[in-house]
Amino acid sequence: MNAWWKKVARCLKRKKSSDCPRGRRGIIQRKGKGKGRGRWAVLVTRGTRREVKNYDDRSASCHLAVDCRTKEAINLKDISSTSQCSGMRAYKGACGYKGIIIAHHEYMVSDRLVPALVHHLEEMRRILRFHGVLLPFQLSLWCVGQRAGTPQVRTTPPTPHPPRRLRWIAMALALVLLLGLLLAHGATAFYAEHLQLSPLPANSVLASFSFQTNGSISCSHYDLLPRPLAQVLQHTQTKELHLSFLAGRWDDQKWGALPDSGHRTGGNGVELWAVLEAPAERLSEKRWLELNQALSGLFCASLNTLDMKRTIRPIFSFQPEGAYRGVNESSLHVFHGALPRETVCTENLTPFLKLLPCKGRAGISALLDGRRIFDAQFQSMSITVLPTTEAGGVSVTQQIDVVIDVSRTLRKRASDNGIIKPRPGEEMACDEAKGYHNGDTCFPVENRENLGWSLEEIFGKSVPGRCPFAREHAGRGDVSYVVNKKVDLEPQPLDWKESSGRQIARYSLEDTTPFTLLSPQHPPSVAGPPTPPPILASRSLTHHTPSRAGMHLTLHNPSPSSPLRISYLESLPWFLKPYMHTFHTSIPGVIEEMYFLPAKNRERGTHLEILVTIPAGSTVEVDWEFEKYILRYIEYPSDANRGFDIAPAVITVLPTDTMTNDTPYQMRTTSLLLTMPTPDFSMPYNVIILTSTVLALAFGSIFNLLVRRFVLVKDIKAAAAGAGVKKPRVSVLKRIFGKLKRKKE
Amino acid sequence: MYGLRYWIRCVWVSLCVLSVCLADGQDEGRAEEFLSKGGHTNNWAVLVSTSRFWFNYRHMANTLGMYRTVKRLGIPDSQIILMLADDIACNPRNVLPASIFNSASRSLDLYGPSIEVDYRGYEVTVENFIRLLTGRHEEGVPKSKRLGSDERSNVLVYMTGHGGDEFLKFQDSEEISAWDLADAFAQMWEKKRYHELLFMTDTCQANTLYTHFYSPNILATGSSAIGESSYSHHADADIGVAVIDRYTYYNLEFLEKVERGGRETLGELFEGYTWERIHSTAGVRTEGFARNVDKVRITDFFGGDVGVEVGVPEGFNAGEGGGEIRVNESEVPSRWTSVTKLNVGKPVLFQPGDEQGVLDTPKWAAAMRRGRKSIALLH
Repeated sequence: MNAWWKKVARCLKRKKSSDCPRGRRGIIQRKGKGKGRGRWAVLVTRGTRREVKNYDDRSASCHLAVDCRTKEAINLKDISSTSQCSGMRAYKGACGYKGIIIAHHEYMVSDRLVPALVHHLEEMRRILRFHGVLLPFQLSLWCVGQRAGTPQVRTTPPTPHPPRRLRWIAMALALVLLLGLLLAHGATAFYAEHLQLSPLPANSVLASFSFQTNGSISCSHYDLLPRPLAQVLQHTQTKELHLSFLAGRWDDQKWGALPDSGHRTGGNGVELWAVLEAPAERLSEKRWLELNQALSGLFCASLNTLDMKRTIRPIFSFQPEGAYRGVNESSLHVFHGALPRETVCTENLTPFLKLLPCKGRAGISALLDGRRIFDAQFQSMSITVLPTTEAGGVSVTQQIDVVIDVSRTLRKRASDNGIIKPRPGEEMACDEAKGYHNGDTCFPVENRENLGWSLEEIFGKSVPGRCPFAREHAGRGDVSYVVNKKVDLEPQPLDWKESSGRQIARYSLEDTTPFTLLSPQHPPSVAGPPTPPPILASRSLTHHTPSRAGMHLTLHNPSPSSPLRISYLESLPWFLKPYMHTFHTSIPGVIEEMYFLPAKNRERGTHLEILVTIPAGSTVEVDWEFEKYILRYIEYPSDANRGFDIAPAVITVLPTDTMTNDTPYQMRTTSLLLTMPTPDFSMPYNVIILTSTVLALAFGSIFNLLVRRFVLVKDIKAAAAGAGVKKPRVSVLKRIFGKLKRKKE
Repeated sequence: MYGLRYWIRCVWVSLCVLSVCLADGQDEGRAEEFLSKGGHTNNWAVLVSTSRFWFNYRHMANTLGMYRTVKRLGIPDSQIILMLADDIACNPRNVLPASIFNSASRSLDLYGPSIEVDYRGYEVTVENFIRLLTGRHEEGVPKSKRLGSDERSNVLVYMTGHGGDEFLKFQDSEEISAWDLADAFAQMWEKKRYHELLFMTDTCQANTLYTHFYSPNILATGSSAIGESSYSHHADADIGVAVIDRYTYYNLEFLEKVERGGRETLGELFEGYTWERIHSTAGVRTEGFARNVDKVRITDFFGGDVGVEVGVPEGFNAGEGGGEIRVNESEVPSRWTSVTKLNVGKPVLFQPGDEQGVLDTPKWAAAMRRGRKSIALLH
């Protein structure tokens, strides 16, 4: 036992109170020189002096020594990284030092957290036991709050006992502190979910599921916050995360502006942008790659392939959105990456649901069945993590937007095996105005009326009841239905509210009563016209040749009166080299600013960002040409003939002076498919075969010429008869060497 | 001449040699005893479909059929590594999105509501597959993409795709050869990454893939002999492609009848491999596999339950308060006389006054006499 341990022992035996190692809060002490891989010692005692003293006899065995390498295995991370959060006090330490933490009565928790803490402690004890460490002491909890009656806080002061009056003051102070912490905790942890159903023109319905969880990641107790995600964020120092999965195309001419100003909708495939905190650039890149690896495991997607070749650091288009307090701005790094080829399917939805407190078993998340979601015309899943104003506080918003084709879904449901058969002629609605219309020639017309539907019909089931963790959202209700004119809904909503010209029906869910909603058949004016998008944009590839091609971009400002200022972000793969001298706009002078970072072969892609002002009611066309770099044999994917996907461009409508309060609208173009000069991959094989053949032929004949001598058969016969050959048997080689020799001589 | 140290060294070395020889003799007996039982404590499954493109729907369905089976028989998702080379479920060609069926009756959606695919699309490469088996990953690769097996793991490796003589194509652009597989498994054995391994493959000339295996405890089976093709079983006219291969179809037909903890053996499964059903010569390689296949249960490889018998010393009484008994792996005695069958890791709860069985290991009994109620846990 070293000197320090002796000191602790003396302190515990109350032999010499001045020897007690003291920390800021009670008896805490760190031992060692601070750095290096040390050993841990944790002592959790029951809280009264007497018990502490009792331990003393076994103090040699009751401190548990855990090698840092097994730290993760025994789950001490939870203790070590905890500082002060959600009403629980624990002590901070890191694996880097030797130390002892004596926590007496130190878990002061709110009533709600008690079960979690008991579980946590028991788990710790179990794990320790598994590792052969037996704790010869009891873990006990002292609870305050409703269950324990009057809140009581008893601090066990380090020796010597303070005078009685001081104790009362200390108690009162502690009580105030505790209540404050409890209140703070109450304000932090929060979960709400909401489903908004908005019928769209042309027989579609947009269902927007949103799940919001607030909590703190500096806390080791994840009661509502998804722990797997929070740990990843904590490990990689990610302050802000925007991850989206998208399949299908948002038809903005038919459906109007994107929901939520396009902020939760990424580009086709997977898109990720994040704000990471790191003191140095290189470290931030390392953390970004770690984040991608971790998210790839979490969401069953190939996010690990999002390396620096596909990553850019956006300048104008993406800015940190959360609340940053006391964070040095220069230590924040914004990264953006996209995987347009990535598919989105059930394996991505499964982890998405697992992050929710009700995990798809109760509440509106029960409607999220992959077979319905991925049968939609458009589906977008996104996860947004933003820091909040509280210390360590984050808000996690999970959002799913699906546009369901009602008529298709109903027809599918009506068919016996889920496969839609063509409609019989007599059931078709024909356009009788057409000149050729008669009994057997029909020009089909779209159904003028929007069909009626129920939640059960479009999602295959009804909501089984409220998610018990969800807090009721006073303003919105649990489910809302948004249309232009009131319709007769079944069941009757709580009320109808008007908001910016739209009628909103609100519903709230009961704990266990299933909920379904019947939307009646209604004329198209009820659903439309939709909110027009502030910008229309499209991007396409032009004049293909094997080595060169061009890009054509159309940006249209539909507003007849006000100009539009946008930022346009293009992130191109490294093998696509834009020729900036060909960059041309149809209206000169609209480009305000341009940021261009050229690609480096096999290291980084091209990063192009421009600020454009589009005059009112006009269209700006932008063209540029680029070269396709020839790839190496192994750089082609296994289906190279399909083409290479180019990530969607991001267009952000920047706020002008008149509309500073609105969230900037953001949209993406579709991804592009670029055909690259692709070799015939059997060619190397053919080349090898051919060269080998040629070589073999050439070598064979030359070799024969050199080492063989051709003689007449009759000479051989003569030789056999004993006459001997006229010339000695010398090969061509020998003859040549012979001649050379003779010359030398 | 020679100092004392020299003689001490000599004696020391000879003692070591002697002890090694003795240990060998003991080990042999122990090994024999051990091998007659299963001896594994956990199960892992690596299920790979190596084919890209829609028309290879059946390979995805084969693999997912196996995925469903191992999951149904108790291997958790965290211990299944699923590799699918292409997106078939949400492929625009799929008339039934997010569903994959391996029979035209479409009674069972294999994609289900909670699938987890660990490697997909371009990530399914020979390199990643070998890295997975041998555990040589880059830094930061998440746990769900690693094979966390140990020397007590039974590992099922199922592969399907297009292959030929001693190779299997990955993604239509690269191949894994029989030697690659043999070397990867050898490395796994050296690194104690499996206890027993069942290698099952459904591809043309599949039996050639296991010809070069040289590490112990591998049982291998394939769908067709050298020079033979493996055929698909039937097509679904609505989906428009073949939905399952013959070999996997008959494997699954048998496996569907196996229940959790079932007593069916691999020998019984292999008996069903007839030419009439599979239309090719399915092969089984038992060389180097210590146990008799007629005694190897299906659930040794396809299941996740490790039946644990927990016994309590003779005369043990849980006392007035009742209690909890857990058995440590190192303390599992060789001879049990009783009692309760359990799932892994679950403690046996005793009611007050319960007496659950008889166990006569002195070590155990002594511990119990000392008043030890909790004996730690069994994996």
